[in-house]
Amino acid sequence: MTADVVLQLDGLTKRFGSLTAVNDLSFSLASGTILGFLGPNGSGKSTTMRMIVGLTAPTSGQALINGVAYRNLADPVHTVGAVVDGVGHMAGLRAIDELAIAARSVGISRTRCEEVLDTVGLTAAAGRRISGFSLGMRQRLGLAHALLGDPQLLLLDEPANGLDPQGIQWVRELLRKLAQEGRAILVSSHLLGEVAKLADDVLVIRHGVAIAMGSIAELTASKASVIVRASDLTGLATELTQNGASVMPTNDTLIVTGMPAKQIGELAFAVGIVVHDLAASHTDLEDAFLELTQGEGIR
Amino acid sequence: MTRLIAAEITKIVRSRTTVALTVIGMLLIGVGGLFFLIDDTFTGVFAGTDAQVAALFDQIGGAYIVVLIVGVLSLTTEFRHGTIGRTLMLTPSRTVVLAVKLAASSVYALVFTAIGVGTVTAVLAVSGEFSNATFGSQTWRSIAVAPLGLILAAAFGVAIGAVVRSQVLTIAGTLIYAFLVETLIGQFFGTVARWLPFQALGGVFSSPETRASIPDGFPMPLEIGTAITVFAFYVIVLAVAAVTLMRFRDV
Repeated sequence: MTADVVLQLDGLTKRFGSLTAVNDLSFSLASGTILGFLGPNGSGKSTTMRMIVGLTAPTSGQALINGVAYRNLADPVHTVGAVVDGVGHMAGLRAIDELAIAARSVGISRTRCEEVLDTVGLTAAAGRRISGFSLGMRQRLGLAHALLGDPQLLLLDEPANGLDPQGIQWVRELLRKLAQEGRAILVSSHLLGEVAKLADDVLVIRHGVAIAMGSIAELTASKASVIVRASDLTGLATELTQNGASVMPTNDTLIVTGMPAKQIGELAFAVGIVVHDLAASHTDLEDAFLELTQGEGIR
Repeated sequence: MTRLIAAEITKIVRSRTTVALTVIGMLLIGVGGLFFLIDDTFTGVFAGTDAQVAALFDQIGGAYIVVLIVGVLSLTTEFRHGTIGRTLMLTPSRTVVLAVKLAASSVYALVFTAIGVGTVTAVLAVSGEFSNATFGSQTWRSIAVAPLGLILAAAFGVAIGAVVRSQVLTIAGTLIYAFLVETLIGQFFGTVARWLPFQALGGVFSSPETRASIPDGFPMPLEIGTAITVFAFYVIVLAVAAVTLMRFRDV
């Protein structure tokens, strides 16, 4: 494990009876980086986050934060902040009081509660009962809880849920700022455009299995296709396949993925095949995601 | 640990349900006390004897169900609203979380006892019997035993809440069991019934005068010392089950 790795998952697996929610998931997250955590509904994102913070026990494998399991952290509130699915609020309390109770239990001052409420834009609503909060306001309050201990690692499950466009932009800017300050952030979201704007890397899971991880550029490049017309399609297809590309022939073209247009042209030239047309198609994160997950819905 | 208990007490105190339950508890104690003073069917005319005043203070324990429900709520409310996740993220040790809930509920039990003593005293004062009342050894024993029984009741509530988790199921199940199942068992198997949890707890709050007022056909409660031991045994068994389940269950 390198020095700046904050979160390390090794073979994390969770089975609920016959359903394997998360299967042998391994990845690491370094400080100062934002990892977008993507997958269809029911793919295991929330279960993974809940296992990281010890709310759900893994069937096998482990999630280590600074080298130790969450339950063994000496100072969890200053190490990890999380907005996790299924964690609610004490609706009858005022926002400031709910935060203050949490803060009191771990020795954090009320002043800090006011600071984080200000950070999430809830200063004006601090004295209001949570029962009157909108979904977006509850989401902001959840973020305030996560930020209470000024933690090194943030785990955010759909933090933009219920936020208006301004709120979504605010979350993006906040997370960028927090990452620039050196925090590691794991963020799941269905707003792929937001993830594309925000994350350094993305991890895509499907059926609890990691199916792709890397920078957004790498991910979209690997799923980008190039349409080729050439004098010898069969010969070129053989060459491209032998060099690691995936080729789908049509009547008069080859649709090539896994190899950039420049390399295809150079390979054709090297084997003496005349290229008539070489057109690269643009792929964004959403296209790549849908292709990786095969447009899958809820399991 | 002190910080955790303080935060937990704040949760209990800030809950409107706790406030409402406490008011209900005091009404039960107050009305029960007035009934005891007015009605002479079972204990004769109230003459302010030590035994009668002790039985009057037994009314505090009679409202044990309120304290027990507050104990139940301290955990099941967290499961109901999903706040248990945040509590466990702040304090990952589930054993510590449960211990803190037990401690905070015990503090509530003490406060409830204190208010209960105030309520009974107020009932005596309002009824004009305060000046006649004899505060002897039996009375002081009733007052001293009440917090012990109520602390055990609160602990029972926390533990059963941790085992069952569902708020409605826990409260409904406890009420049905305590007031229906055990009563029915008591009707048919009196000698066995008094060893059951809530019959035993009733024994904790039974001064000699209270025992004397129990109608024929109802099981005679266990002696106070035995009753405390038996109910504490049930609490310990439940608490061990609660800790075990809390440690291994997903939240």
